[in-house]
Amino acid sequence: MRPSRAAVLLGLSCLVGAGCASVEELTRDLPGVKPLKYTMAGADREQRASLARGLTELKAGDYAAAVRSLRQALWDVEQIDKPWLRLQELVEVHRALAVAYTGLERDEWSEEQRALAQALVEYGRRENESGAPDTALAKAKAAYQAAHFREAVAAFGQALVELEGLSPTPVRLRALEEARCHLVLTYFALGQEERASEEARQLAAREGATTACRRQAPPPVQALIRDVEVNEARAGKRSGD
Amino acid sequence: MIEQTSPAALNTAEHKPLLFGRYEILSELGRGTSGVVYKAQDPKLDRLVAMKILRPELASLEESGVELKQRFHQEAVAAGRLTHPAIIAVHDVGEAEGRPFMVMEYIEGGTLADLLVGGRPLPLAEAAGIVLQVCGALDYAHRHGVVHRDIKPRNILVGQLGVTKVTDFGTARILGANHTQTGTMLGTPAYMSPEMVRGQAVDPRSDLFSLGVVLYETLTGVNPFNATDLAAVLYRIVNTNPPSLRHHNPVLPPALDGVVRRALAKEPEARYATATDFADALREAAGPQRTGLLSVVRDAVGDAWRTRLLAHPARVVAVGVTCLLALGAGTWAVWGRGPDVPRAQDSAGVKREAGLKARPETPTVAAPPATEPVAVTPKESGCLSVNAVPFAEVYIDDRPAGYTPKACLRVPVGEHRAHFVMNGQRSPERLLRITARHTADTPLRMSYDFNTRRFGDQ
Repeated sequence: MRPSRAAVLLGLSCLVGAGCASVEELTRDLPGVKPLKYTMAGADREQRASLARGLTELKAGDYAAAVRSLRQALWDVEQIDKPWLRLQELVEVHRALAVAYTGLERDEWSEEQRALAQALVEYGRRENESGAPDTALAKAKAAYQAAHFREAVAAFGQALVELEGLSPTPVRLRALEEARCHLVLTYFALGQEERASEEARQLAAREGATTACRRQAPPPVQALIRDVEVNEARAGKRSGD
Repeated sequence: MIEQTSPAALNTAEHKPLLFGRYEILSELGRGTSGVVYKAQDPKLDRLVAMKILRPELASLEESGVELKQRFHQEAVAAGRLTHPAIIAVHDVGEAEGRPFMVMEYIEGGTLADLLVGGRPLPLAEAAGIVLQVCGALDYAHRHGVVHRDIKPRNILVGQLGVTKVTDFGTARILGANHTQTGTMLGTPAYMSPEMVRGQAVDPRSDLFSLGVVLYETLTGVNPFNATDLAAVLYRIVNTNPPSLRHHNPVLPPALDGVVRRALAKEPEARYATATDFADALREAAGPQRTGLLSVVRDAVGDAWRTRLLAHPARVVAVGVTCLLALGAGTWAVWGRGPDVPRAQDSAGVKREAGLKARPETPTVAAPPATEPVAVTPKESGCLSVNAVPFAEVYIDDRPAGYTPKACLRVPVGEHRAHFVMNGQRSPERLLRITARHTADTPLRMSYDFNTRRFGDQ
């Protein structure tokens, strides 16, 4: 083989080897790529509507509206059955939330969203070797029950990632609701009421989830959740008007 | 359109509001020794209010001949006569479900204690701005024959733009001492005057001593009489002079030392005679350009905003006009209320939401009135991390101390009995030994599962 041909072949193989991720990056924002992916995954394109709206609001600098849409998107993309597409979209939602929180000067929350996005990316890489996903939730709940609240926050964050391995979708959604409800309770226990409220708002984006959560919450948390529901209803009404 | 989604409109099976009297309870703001304060909605006037409800165990003392309800009401009415922009307004008093309540002005913001969390001093302009406003409130109260007797950072609310309001006027009297009674210690130890420690009669100069302690702490981040145990705190208040402010914060003007020294004089006669005298001296020592509200605002909004504002003089004018309008509206609201509307006072432990991180509450374990009136500060307490499944009410020494879950329930150092109650079921009792080493990072933990009837460590 002549040296020049060998070099070309080597170059091509490098491109192919490194290729998928780069192609993924390059085509991410091209029109038609996302709908095509949804078609390939047999998913409903409507499941991306909140994410798409959130991204538009983010570009327009309307961070509060973007956060509202992205909270909804968290639950919408969770309904995608195909794990590869669901993970991609979830990562995008969390990254967008990180930007929106930064815009709202919530740097700490933004960091959490970035960390979650990164954890989901890493989870996607090791998905095949993932253990029993409900074990993560059980461990987090055990930490919570034993009044180890700081450890519980980290454990529930981990559970939100690991639960991506749980199927079918309704079972996963119920487990995610449970994890997020416990996060509301845990943040409240830690005296981080604003953070608890934000977690309750994320929960409120899923219809009926706060009702179930309220049943297991003490009166102060019930009041906090009700506060969130009232304010979200008002905000929804306002944006509807 | 928005009104249709108000809490009252959501009164369905799914969104049933918690009502107390005509008020809808939204969330708990804090707990003091005499009552629990809630954020509530007044549906009649469609406004947010702070609602203080006498603790049930105190209300029940009525049966044993203690006229707490009547005194709660009397105090609310008396405090309501104080009409001042720097005193929290009382909107209503009443009784529901056998428990007296007081409805007060709701302020977005936090307490001064929240601002001082972690021992961080405030900038001079901000500190002086806050203390000067408290001086105004105290001067007014003193002229109306009311001595606060529990001036401390937790009873000073700091709202948006640095607007300051004093809370909890008169609550001390509810706690079992009448105005002239001696021999009873009231207030929070680290802010008590020497005459309070000695159990002697107090007058307005006692409040000025407490405000001196607040000023010292606000400027340095350190309580001047801080010590590891209660006896040492009380000894220091009566016998020792605190170090210079500049020992902790060398950039402070030397003249401020003189102001604080006089405010903290051991003998009342050696202190400022009035709050106005205190304010004048502070204003002079701090420098005339440092204490205006706008400088407080400027410090509060921070460097980034300052840079942006200064780069656009038109915005400075706009902000100024907005502040003036806000102040004008506030003044109008206060003066326009009419003479028969009661004013003033909130409760201890009020924790606000907007942007301020609350410090763990000083004791959530209530001291009963008259018998144990000395409140406990974090220095004499430890953290108890509690949880129960399902959620339950925690009882410390047979007194309710709030609901689970809670990462840091402040409990006085010492031995205590604790148990949970869930829907009438009572857990076994545990003996706890709380020490000062039980901090928020390393709390003592107690958890109980009502399903398995076991404690977490069993």
